[in-house]
Amino acid sequence: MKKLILIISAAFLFTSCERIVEVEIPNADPKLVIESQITTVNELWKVRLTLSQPYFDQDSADGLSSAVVTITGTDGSLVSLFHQDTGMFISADSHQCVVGETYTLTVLYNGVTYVAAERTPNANRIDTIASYYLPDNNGFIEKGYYVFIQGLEASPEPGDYYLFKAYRYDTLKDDFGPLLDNDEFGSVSFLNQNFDIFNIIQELALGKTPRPFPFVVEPTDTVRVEQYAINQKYYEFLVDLNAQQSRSGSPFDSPPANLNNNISNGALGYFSVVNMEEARIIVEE
Amino acid sequence: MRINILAVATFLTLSVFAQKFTLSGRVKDAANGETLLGASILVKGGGGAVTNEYGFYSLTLNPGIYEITYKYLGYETIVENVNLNKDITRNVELAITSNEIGVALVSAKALEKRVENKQISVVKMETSKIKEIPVIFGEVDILKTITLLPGIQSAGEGNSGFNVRGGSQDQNLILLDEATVYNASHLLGFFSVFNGDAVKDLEVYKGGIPAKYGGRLSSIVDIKMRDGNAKRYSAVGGIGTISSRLTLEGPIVKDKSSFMIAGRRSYADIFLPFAPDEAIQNSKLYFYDLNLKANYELSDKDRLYVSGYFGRDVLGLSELFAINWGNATATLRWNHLVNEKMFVNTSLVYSNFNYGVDIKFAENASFGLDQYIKDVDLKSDWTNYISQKSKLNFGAQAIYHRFNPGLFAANNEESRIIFNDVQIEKRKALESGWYVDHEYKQSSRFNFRYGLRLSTFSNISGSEYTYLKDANYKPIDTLTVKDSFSGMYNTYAGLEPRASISYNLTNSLAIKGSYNRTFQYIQQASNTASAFPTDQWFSVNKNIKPQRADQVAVGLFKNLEINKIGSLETSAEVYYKWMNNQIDYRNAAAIAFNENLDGELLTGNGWSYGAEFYVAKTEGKSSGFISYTWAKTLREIQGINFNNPYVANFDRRHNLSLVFTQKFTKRLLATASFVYSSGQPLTTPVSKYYYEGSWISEYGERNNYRVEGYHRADLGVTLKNKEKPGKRLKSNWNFSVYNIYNRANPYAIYFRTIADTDLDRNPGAVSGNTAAFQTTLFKIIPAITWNFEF
Repeated sequence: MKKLILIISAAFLFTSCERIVEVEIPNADPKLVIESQITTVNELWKVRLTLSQPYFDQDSADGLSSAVVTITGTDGSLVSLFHQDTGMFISADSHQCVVGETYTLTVLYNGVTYVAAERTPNANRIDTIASYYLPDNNGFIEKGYYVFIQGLEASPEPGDYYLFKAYRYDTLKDDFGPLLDNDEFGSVSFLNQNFDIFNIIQELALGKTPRPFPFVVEPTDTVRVEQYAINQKYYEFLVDLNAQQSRSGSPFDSPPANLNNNISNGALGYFSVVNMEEARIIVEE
Repeated sequence: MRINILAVATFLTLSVFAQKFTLSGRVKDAANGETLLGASILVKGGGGAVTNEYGFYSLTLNPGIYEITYKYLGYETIVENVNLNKDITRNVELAITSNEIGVALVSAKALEKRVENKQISVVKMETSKIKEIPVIFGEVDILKTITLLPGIQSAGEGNSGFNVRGGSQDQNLILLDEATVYNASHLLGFFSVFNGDAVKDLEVYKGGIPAKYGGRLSSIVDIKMRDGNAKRYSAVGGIGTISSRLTLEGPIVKDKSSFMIAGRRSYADIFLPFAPDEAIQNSKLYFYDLNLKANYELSDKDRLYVSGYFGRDVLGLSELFAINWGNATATLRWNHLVNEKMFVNTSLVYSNFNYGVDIKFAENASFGLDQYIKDVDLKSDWTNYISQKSKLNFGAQAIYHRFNPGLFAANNEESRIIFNDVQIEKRKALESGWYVDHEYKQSSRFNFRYGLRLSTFSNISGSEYTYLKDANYKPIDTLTVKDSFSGMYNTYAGLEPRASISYNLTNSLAIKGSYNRTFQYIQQASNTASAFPTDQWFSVNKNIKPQRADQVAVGLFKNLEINKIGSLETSAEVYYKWMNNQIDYRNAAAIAFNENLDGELLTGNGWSYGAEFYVAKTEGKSSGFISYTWAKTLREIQGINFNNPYVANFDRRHNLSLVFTQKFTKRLLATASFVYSSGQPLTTPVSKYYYEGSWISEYGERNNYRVEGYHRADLGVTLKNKEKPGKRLKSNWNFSVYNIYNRANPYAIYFRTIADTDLDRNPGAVSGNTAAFQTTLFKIIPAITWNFEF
């Protein structure tokens, strides 16, 4: 339902009478902001540290340089991250997260220790990536070629959360906001999975739901899809973040609310541990 | 307690020992046979009675010859001698005072009487007064007008409803011929659902609520429809640029039975195709409503009334999305006179408020979401006119509620193949009320009224959940436990004492006070920036306890006579209200189509207090009023605002209204009004941070900021056409301008990153920076209406 409401708010009748106004609002003391994501892909681990700043500041705040940053695994392994530039702290070597293991980020800044921990989630393997021509042209879907992926459920229990990113020739296509998905609905399912929606993926077995990417592609385009299995808390963080970003002054806006994150001592941002996989296709006619 | 015992003893003595006779009957309008509510029947030498909502009065006196005066505001007075040597029935018809201008006129009533009659925290508008109120968009809007009065505050443009003394919008019980109206406005608050031509009168209780009424915490708005002309056929209507309306009425059996039918339709949306924006061109936005009423006199002692209301709003955006909501009510009433002193009305009432959303992505992807609340209400209200001084009201009611929290269903066969129908469990409940209420007029100086209401509420055969919540009050799904019940369960009961007292210090100065306790068992909560008619109604259950409020109010009422200005009515009241079990949603609550909605709710306390001032001039060529309210309303809810108190969203510190009417000639009349209210509280960011390529806001305390104030002036001019001798047609032109100085009042202020598409409208803005944006709903709106009557 959330997506429907977004459509409503976007088109809401009166938003055309909208303008920027000057208001004087209170300012809070700066807080530490932590931005970090580590994945199941072998790569350098990075953490970006900045401070929050007054809302109407024009330029973004400088990154921090003096902090002690480490990431520890459940097996006792400890990785130190070192300051490079503009708030970026980077590990010396490449590392990769192991499914089921918990990783703990510790940041010592200005005499305060900030801690965040997440477990690497299990994930569906992407089974198939394909492109199909949809001949329907209506208010919702333009006719054209679309890319779909499908995968097998990692576990039949609800509790899997995903973020998808799709790139056309390395350009991130995010016109519709982040593509977030979960299987939480369980028994309350609006979509009847016994039916193939557009008569195009006849071969799909029961229980396999194809995921379309909502942008039109052309034959010979290269499309790369990234699938991130994420934790529930991070999923909710992204949903709330998206709700905050799509506020439009319409009556359907949710009341302003701060994002709940996984970092202690009131630091902002998020430390996410994700299971990442990607697939690539060249669109055929 | 001593007073109560004294009162009971007094009326017992009176009724047992004195041999007395009763003068009773009905008072009607001579022109159309409409019964008059609140007409005075005065006995020379002191004492008297007032007609009830069916025009009935009863006066018990010692045997003797009396001079009786029948009076009603704006009507000719009748004085006659009555020899009361037996019980007498006397029906009286009063004629409207011949007055060519026909507006802003108050006659007859002596000034000191007014001070005496006025109850604390109660607003009454009689037929003649309704016609005096400012006309905007060609018609009178009673609900809009009451929001200009102290203590009643409009929820603002784009919001349906109003707030009374710091209560939320769902805490007002709005009754139309005894049927609950769940949504009182059309076009997002632009019009009220009450067609001014169909309404006879209105009472609003902000406090001192009589024991007869219950079920809502903050206020009662009791509206009665007109019965229809019992003398001849007639029509009233208006053709305007925004809406048109027509009322037809006439006798079914002359002087015995009549009907009335009134309809309205707005068509503001026919102008939408001219809008520059394509999204707006394809939109729909309209309302229509219909009022029906008929009555039949079965005998001198029995009268039947049937009335109904049906109204609907539609807001659609092309074919893709449409939302519609509306109320339907039906009331069947039976007035019965048990004897000269005992009047009883029994009503069977049906009310249905439903709302739906329809979405059509494609032929095979078309579905809707439907919700409703349906009530069947059986009630019986008895009045015993014990003596001139004493009146006892008692009665009972039972309401059977049915709630449909949501049905998701495909709209056609093709879509049904894709979409499963999903029904969230429907709910049923039984609410009841039992009351006794005694009105006692100790002397011409001292009046009191006290009563007790017992209310109960039970859920009926359903299921409930027990939640385990995390630190952010989010229910942890896997530990949700469901229990099923059969029969009635979760029975709640509440005793609601009510009292009001009035003492006249002098003929023109009175001091009044009231106390009331109220319970509320069904409610609505909004998770969006503004309250919307489609916010879901739900009842108390295991997790949500009944809301309770206690209110005390004290007021001074003074009538002044000032040279060159004339007479003025003034009043000042202060109140304090404590509220328990107030509800709000946790942050980031999931409420759309959620079976476990009650798991997302948080409860806490609220309190509000304020002072209200009112000065009115009701006589003469220039009339009008000034109303000012200072108010504060707070909430303290565990889980919101770090558990600290915060001002409620509808908290407005200052509220000022000025209404001025000037009669220039017999044919030309103008009304001007101005309103100001403090801005809406707002939660603003207190800082921002950059995360994954975008700005994120860090919000401060709940409602930490106040938006700039709301103000607006409206102007209306009515020009009457010359009446032709011998013709029944009367007509006038009404020209009105809403928001005459084109003020861009903030509807919403919100904070986001500036996008490229914002740059055209906002020169100097830089894409990628963050800014505060303001939306505005209604700027200047002119309207013309031709009104007619024949």
